Amino acid sequence: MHKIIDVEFEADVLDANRRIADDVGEHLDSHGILSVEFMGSTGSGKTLIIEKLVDHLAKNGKRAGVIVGDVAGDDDYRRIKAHGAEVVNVNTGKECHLDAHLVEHASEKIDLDAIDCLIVENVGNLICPADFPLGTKKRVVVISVTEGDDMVRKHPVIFQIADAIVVNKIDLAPYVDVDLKVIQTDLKRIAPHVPAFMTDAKHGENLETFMDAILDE
Amino acid sequence: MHEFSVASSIVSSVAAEAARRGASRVTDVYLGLGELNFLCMEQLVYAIGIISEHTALEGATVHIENRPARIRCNSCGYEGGAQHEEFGEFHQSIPLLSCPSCGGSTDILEGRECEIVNATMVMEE
Repeated sequence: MHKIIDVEFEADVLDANRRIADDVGEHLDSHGILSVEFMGSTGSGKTLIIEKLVDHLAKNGKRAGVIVGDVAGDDDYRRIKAHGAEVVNVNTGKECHLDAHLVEHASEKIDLDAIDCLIVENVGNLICPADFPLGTKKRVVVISVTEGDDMVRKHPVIFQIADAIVVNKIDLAPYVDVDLKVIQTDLKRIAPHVPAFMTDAKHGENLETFMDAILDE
Repeated sequence: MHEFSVASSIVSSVAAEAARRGASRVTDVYLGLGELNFLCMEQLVYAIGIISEHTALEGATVHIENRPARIRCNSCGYEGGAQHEEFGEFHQSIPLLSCPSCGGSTDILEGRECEIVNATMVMEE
């Protein structure tokens, strides 16, 4: 004999990450640290923007800590380290995104009393990071024109949940037959309330405007 | 592509509950999937099938209820569903997070979840 039972769960699988993210956020707040996550495509310029942000902070007498996520390697770690920031490298191995648990552990390796701003660079990916907030105060998504003019409408949600959007490498638009207006029109329709910055990070165009906005608490 | 890790959490949660109750197997698992998360239904069901081999969930049917987004306007207080924009060329429908009533910015109330709602288990007597 056997009987059938119905068991209620009502448990959100993604909620476990969100709870840890909330803890991370509170912990960083308690140290008076502004925290910013950079999500975005592979090769969109996230690391270069972070390098420049570290320099920008230093120029204003502020110290940065950086957590760098990549599937493998320490290329980004070495680039950012050269700018004098305290950097922790996180290799995810198989996962295509960081999660709050990884960030919680990585942040334990940084002296939080010695920094003013914690920057987290997620793995290059426009999909998965949207489901895994890390606990930072702000989330920035970076794309570049070289990926084509359809990136926004192909990945709407990540733009909708971001606090700021950077469209980078605008100087290259004419060489890759991309009309920046198409991207801007998509952004206006899909994420009209999220501030968007058109930058050429390499040569510095509009970068200061973006950095001042993102560091403004 | 994080269906595999999410599927793994689902299987281990349900299997642990089945073990706790002394159930011999799980025949059905009911999930609620919000339209604003990035989980692909087919891949999720496939991954659960693979991961549940040799567990109490082996062979269980996975039922998925798709849940629409619910938003709240920061300006006019509208609370309800989001408007959608159809993109014929991409065969997709995009939820727009502006307020359908006044166009203001909104907060997401529901639609990002991946919830284990309930499961049917068999108890041997």
